[in-house]
Amino acid sequence: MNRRQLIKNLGLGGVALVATPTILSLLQSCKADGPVFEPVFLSNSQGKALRHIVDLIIPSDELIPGAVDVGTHKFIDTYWNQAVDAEGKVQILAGFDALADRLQDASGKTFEDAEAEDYDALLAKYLTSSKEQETVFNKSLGEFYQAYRKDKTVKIDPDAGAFSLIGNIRGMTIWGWKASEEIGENVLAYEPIPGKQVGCLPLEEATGGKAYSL
Amino acid sequence: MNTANENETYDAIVVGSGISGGWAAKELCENGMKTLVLERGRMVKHIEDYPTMHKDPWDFELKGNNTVEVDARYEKQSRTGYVHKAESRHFFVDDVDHPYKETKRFDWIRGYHVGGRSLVWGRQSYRWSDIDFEANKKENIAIDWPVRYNDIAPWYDKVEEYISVSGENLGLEVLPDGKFSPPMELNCVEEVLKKNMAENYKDGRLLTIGRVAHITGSKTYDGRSACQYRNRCMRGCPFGGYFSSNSSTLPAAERTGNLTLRPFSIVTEVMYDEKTGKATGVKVTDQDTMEKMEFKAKTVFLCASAIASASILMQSKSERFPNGMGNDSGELGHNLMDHHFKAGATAKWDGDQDKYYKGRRPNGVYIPRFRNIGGETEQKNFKRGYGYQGGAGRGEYQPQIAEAGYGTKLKEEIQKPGGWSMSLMGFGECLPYHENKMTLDYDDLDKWGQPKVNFDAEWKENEWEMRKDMIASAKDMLKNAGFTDIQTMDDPSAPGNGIHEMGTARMGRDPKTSVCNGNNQLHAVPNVYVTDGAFMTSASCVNPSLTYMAFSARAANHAAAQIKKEA
Repeated sequence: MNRRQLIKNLGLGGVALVATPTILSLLQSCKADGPVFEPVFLSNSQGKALRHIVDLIIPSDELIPGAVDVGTHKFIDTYWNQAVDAEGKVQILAGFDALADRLQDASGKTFEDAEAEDYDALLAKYLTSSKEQETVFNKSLGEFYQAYRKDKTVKIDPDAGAFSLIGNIRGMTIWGWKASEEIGENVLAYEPIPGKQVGCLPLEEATGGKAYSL
Repeated sequence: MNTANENETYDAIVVGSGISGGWAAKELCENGMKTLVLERGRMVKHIEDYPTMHKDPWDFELKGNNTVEVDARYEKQSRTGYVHKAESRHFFVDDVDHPYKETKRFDWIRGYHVGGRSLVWGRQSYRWSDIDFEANKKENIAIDWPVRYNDIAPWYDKVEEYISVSGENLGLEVLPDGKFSPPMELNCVEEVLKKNMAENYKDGRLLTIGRVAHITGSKTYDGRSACQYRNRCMRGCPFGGYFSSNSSTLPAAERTGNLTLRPFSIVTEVMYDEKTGKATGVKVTDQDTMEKMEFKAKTVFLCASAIASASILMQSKSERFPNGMGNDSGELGHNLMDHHFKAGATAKWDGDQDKYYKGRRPNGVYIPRFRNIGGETEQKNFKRGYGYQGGAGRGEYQPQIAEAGYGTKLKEEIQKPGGWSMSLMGFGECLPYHENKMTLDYDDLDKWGQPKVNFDAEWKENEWEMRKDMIASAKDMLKNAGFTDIQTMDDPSAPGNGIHEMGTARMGRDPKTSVCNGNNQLHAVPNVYVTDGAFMTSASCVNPSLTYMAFSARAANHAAAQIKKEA
């Protein structure tokens, strides 16, 4: 059973949840045994890593579905499979190799046995790093692409590769989540046919502080 | 609808059903002329054939992007960066099926179907002024236009009132007033820039809302209703909120009972009678069946687009016209122009975080040309001028999003509107250069046996110099108004990318230097009219469609009067 369905079944949808330990553990266990994700582009173990990362980037909570709830991990895998060309695919897979290397280095684990907290440590490193650290990663990435243009066999530095992949997944996750039906219609301000145009009005009055989904 | 008949002699044949062809058909039919419209592509019925008009991003696989395989079929159309996406690609040609050649890169962006690019146009609608019509003569560039503003002004009136152009009258010489529907509103950040420009600049420059072919206000239009601010115009509009041939002129033509419309009809040649010195009709190849046909008419209107109309004339060879019909001057296919754009600046606005807007306005702001229009506006480094289009909005950009990293905080931040950003992008006039041209390659045929078009055109020094000013002035205006993080933009891409190709059968007074006369007739074959972008003698800096419509309507009424006189 997925988490969203469970919340609905418990009659908790839309109601502020007082999380008793029982319910919490129920929700958590749901997450761990969530439906098996069978990627079409990635390997199963890479798919597990993607699902963990996507779930950490936009987590689920009591009121609003997270990225995994709306299938963003599946969307990303499908998108990479269908909309990215051969060279781009090679880069993504090289990014997963780099990520596996960094994961091993940091936790001693593989995609198969790593848990959320292991990815949390990597995301903290690559998504909340200092400006200086970011500059170092970006410089290393720039150097790689320059070398890669001349020689396609050049390997990316694992830190730069993991940084690039996680940044890519973050952007795709935000896009995939915001452009999903559940979020677009029920969470963001959805106006398929506005009917009129007003140039300027208070944000509160316009949408209650939400962004438009379209 | 009537069925096309090879045994009938029509009063008029209109080649093409886009923005020019639709107007020619409407005016001819309303004048009682039996009119056959030939469209090379498929039928597109208003509303019925707009498959994506109600789709949300999540209704598209890949959220509107294409698979690698689909993208590969739109190699040239995708140079625009947008037309080939899932929401609109069915209104653009497949580049594999419709190849062309490039001695120099030219982006020939087009759709083959009833309605043509009137379905997907940018809808910006601006009148030319005498500053435009007189420029060639004053500067001794190319040739003089055989018309002036007063000749065309009543036709601008007629077109604007019929299609509905929303906008604001400003009393400017460089951008004449029109018959407008109520203007759309600026948002609060655009108002900031407008106010600041009025205070900071003494050269007359100002910011206004774009003039756009949408229904606003309470006036009613046959079969069309007011814009609903969905901003999904490129998909076809179920409300008919913006003007297209499909929603407006073709239904008007059909209501007269005088219209016959035949899709899948590739016109390959205009037939010529050496004895009478007139055209007698056109030759057609059916796009699907390859069947060859001939249709006869007293008058032929070429409205197939600048490139296609010139191609048809080039292929219309006879003893009298060994180099193509009407090509005594040798100018056919030459003087190819477009607008150069994608030069300007974007910036952030830190204030007004508690402000937003309502409705997805299918329109932007406009800053009319303010260079080389007299006095202190004269420039040393370039001739003519440019206008800016752009606007402000709250998009994806949000400093908080970058800082939020991931997790709960990110989730909160991305539910809020992004920060304000503003863009100003110049659209500049391109001069008419004889050597900028398109030709036909008879050694390389497409699948209908037609010679492929080959392009050989480029921007030159005047355009390059103008772009520097387009960038510098945009930066200057944004800086003066207190915008931050100003980034300049300069992507010259290639001619064609503005999708305003024109000039290949230019109008003029002298048959030795021009293809058409001031009534859009071929000098040498007066019952052939060219009323799409081909007739343009110079390019101005404003979007050209309104001018094509006005000249098409004028020419159609001229032709109808001729036919009635000869009857």
